[in-house]
Amino acid sequence: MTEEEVRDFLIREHAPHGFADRVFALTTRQERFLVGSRDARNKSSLVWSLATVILISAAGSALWHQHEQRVEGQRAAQDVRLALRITAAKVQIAQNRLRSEHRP
Amino acid sequence: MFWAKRQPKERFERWVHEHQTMVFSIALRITREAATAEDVAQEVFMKLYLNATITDDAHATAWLRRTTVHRSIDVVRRIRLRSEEKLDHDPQAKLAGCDPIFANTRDRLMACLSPEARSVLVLRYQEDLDPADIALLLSMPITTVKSYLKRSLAFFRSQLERESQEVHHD
Repeated sequence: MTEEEVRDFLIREHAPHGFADRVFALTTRQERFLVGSRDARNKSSLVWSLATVILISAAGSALWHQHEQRVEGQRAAQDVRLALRITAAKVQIAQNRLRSEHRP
Repeated sequence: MFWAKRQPKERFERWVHEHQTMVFSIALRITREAATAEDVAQEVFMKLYLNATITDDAHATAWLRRTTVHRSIDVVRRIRLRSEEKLDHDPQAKLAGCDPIFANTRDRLMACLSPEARSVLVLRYQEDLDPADIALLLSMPITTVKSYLKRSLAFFRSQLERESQEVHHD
């Protein structure tokens, strides 16, 4: 068997009828699938983004509330300290007055 | 991946029309089954469609040849593993395992070769590539390519000679 005979034997065979159309149909299907996946992914991303925003807002709100309570507590403690100081001063004045009245 | 760029439609369609015969023929010679060859060819074109890095004609042709050969060999290996055929690289040793349903002597002899040897023959005589180009395309040493060619042709000659002698004896 010569090289020429092998060459003749291995001549190209035509692709089956409608092959190109089947390839194009596959690409169209693939395209639809990819677009569908992308939409699904986009929707999923949107849901996740919303969930993240809500979570961050809730956490922020809780922290703010906690901060507000702490500030209010500090203010109340300060008020109590001031009231005690005023009361102590008044008691001191009253004591001094009593002492001066009882002095012979 | 959904964000991967695809081939422009017009260019892809032109390549499919231009190269469908080449891709199908390579797959057919290596897989030896029209349905399997069509599946391989479709898969190869789908890979090309999803590969936007290929932009020029020469690159596309070389890529299609290489991808078709490798994919066809993979498919043949998978089928062979499934059917637990044990084929050897030496074509002489495999003659006993050749598929008897191939009526044509040359088809039968091609079937006796390993998928790698068939690939080399197809690229040399169907695609008219030089052994150096085949070596580059299949990532194998040129000496291996030449050895496949030499052994395959010698095998063909010896088998055809033997068969013609048998016909004369009958």
